[in-house]
Amino acid sequence: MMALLQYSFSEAILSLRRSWRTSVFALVTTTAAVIVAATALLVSLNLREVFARLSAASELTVYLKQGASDLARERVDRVLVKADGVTSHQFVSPKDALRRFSTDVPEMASLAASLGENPFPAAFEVRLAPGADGEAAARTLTTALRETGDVEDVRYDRQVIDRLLTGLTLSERIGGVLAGVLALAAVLTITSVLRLSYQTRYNEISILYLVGAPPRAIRGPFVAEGVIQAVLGAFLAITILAIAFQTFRAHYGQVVIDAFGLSDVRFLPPLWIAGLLMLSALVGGLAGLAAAWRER
Amino acid sequence: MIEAHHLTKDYRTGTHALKDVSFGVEKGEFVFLTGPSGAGKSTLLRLLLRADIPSSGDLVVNGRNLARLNPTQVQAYRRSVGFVFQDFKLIPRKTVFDNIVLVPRLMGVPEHQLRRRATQALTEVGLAERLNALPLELSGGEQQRVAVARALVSEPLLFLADEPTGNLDPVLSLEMMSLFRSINARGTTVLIATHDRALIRHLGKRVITLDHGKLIDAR
Repeated sequence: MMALLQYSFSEAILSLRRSWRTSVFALVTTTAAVIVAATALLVSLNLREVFARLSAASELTVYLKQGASDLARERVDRVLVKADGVTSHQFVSPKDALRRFSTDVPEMASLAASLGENPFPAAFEVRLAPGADGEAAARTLTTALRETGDVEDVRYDRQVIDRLLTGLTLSERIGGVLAGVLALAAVLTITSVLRLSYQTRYNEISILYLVGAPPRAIRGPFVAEGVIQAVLGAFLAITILAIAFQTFRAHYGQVVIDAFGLSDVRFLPPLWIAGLLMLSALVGGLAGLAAAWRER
Repeated sequence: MIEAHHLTKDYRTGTHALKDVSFGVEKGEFVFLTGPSGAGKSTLLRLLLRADIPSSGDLVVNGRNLARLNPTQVQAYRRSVGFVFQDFKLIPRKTVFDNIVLVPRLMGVPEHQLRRRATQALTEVGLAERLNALPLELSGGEQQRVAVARALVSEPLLFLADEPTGNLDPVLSLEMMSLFRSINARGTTVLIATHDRALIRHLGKRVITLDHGKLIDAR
């Protein structure tokens, strides 16, 4: 087995050195495919973290009817205390709401003051427990709150997050399909390049068959060549992406961290990189096998 | 060792390369296969190497019907046969040593054994000093002897050669035949295709004669 591996890889390296011009095409296509796949993974990795944080912090805002009494406030409070999936809730009086508005949006503070009366209703800010059943719990709670007759409106920010998550999943799928198409292009390019190499070495391969070389020894160098091309392409892609990522993080990293409340902007974990390299090796090997597959 | 039963080989072009050829070769025998150009000698050798299969009839070597071998068995069978091709079939970019030990090396034979076997085979063909030469640096006769050394290195049960003296002068031809006799003396069955009548007479071995694809004589 070791003799076969050694022979396959030394022959593959020789072949790559002999026909490096055609091998460059396979390398570029593989690099492009892995860049697209790795970028999709990188964006997804960081956005998933953003959404996980937003989901964990998702809230209901319960607006009471204008001029709601203390009794009405107590009724709503009781519903919230009894409700499942509520981790905490806080009452925001119209005065507090106006003060918060003036602090958060100072340029609009004079406009609110000029209205004469406080336009903000009393409200409860309700923090929901994260989890897959959050949506159902929020719906049940909204129904119970409306049934009190004291609630004007219930705003649920998780719907927005869920819509964004759906969008992200769709984008991931599109990225996956694009990466798949490019991977197919890479496989076809590697197969074509190796097929050319097979034709170039046709006489030699015929001799190998005639003197009784085992089929695995004849196909081995092509499999090894496919593996080398694909792994080189993937390695190049990850290196390019890492450099681009470091440059981006140096210039815009803090902006992104502040904007999304992230702990850090992360690059692909080593295990994912190893997975990408192994997947590329597998795909390259299969392409090599396809190129050299001829029964005699 | 070899049993040919009603062997026929037709090509799509309508050429009948072999027509109803039957003969047998015993284990350890030395046989010449002769006949004029186009007689079917090379076709028969191709069938014996399992580079082709008969259109009809059976060819049984060492108890195995060659037409029924799967691709892996074909390769294993070829490793048990030492074959010297008319055009040598050496790999130009590999040295004499690498050409000779290519298959045994792929089969996992240790390097020190490969070197010993290759040196021994090259000594037998008188080329021990050309171990590191490339085939293109050798004369036609030397290349032919390297091909013989490659056929010997696997210690085959059956030794086949297609016009092995075609590129050699009379002295070297006799030396080569003497080598084939010594290979045969070890118990290896030898079948040599040649149209060199003088050589056949000189050795006085059994002759199978073909002409236009038909068996003329197999005494």
